[in-house]
Amino acid sequence: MKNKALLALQEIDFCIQELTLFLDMHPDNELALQLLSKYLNQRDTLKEAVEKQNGPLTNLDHSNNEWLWAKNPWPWDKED
Amino acid sequence: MWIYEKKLQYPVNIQKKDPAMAKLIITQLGGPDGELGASNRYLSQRYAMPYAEVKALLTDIGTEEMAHAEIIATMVYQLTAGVSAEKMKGTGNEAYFIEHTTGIWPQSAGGLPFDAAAFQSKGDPITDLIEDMAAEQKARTTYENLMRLVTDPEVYRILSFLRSREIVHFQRFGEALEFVRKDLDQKNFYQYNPAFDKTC
Repeated sequence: MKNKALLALQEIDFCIQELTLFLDMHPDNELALQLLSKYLNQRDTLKEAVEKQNGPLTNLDHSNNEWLWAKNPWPWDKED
Repeated sequence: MWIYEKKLQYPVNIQKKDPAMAKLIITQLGGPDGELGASNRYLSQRYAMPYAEVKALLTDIGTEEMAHAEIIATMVYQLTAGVSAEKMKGTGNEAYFIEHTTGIWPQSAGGLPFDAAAFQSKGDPITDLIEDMAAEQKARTTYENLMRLVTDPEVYRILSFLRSREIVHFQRFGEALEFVRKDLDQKNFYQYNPAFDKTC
């Protein structure tokens, strides 16, 4: 795995997804709520690292005068 | 609405071409227990679901299934892109090749096109949630059958991840079913459709 920043983001997003589904059915679980806040905070830093390396994650993450959304590799493109 | 994130939920980077395996794996995109059907099932059912918690669950699982459809499509693409027409011969993937080249088109392993008839949206929370639990089990069995046939550990790893998601979703839908049942028991009603019989 070359793209360590992306892998770290995928890992934290997996934790967030699990907590989201759990909280839908257990909305008062304090531990899950605490963990979700913690992971969401960590996510901001990880997302920044991915975008620095790979370009914008969504088409709303436009931040300079260059349109990078279409330029960078798509998820089905292989790393080689 | 939805916002697309330019990443997969789980990394896919398959180096070894295998059109024969692609022909089988595509069933989890467009087959009767595939991810496209799963996503459409949950996202269709949520409108008539009278419980906010379960609306949220159907939305969140339905959205995750879209990400799974993308993982399957990526696998099929990476297993076939770059394979010559000559090497396609004898793989079982020839019919798909002449119709779609290396494009991605949702169909079952048996070649049947994606069909909404493979799922229901009945407008009854008990009926729909029991269908959802069955659907997760059917998808788990399909992943296990694929894992019996696969030889590439990279492909196996991804199928194994997707299989584990079916189990988690089954668990959450089971909790949702309990939640709905408890609510109906409180009102001392059981044979009644809470999405329809408002004054019951």
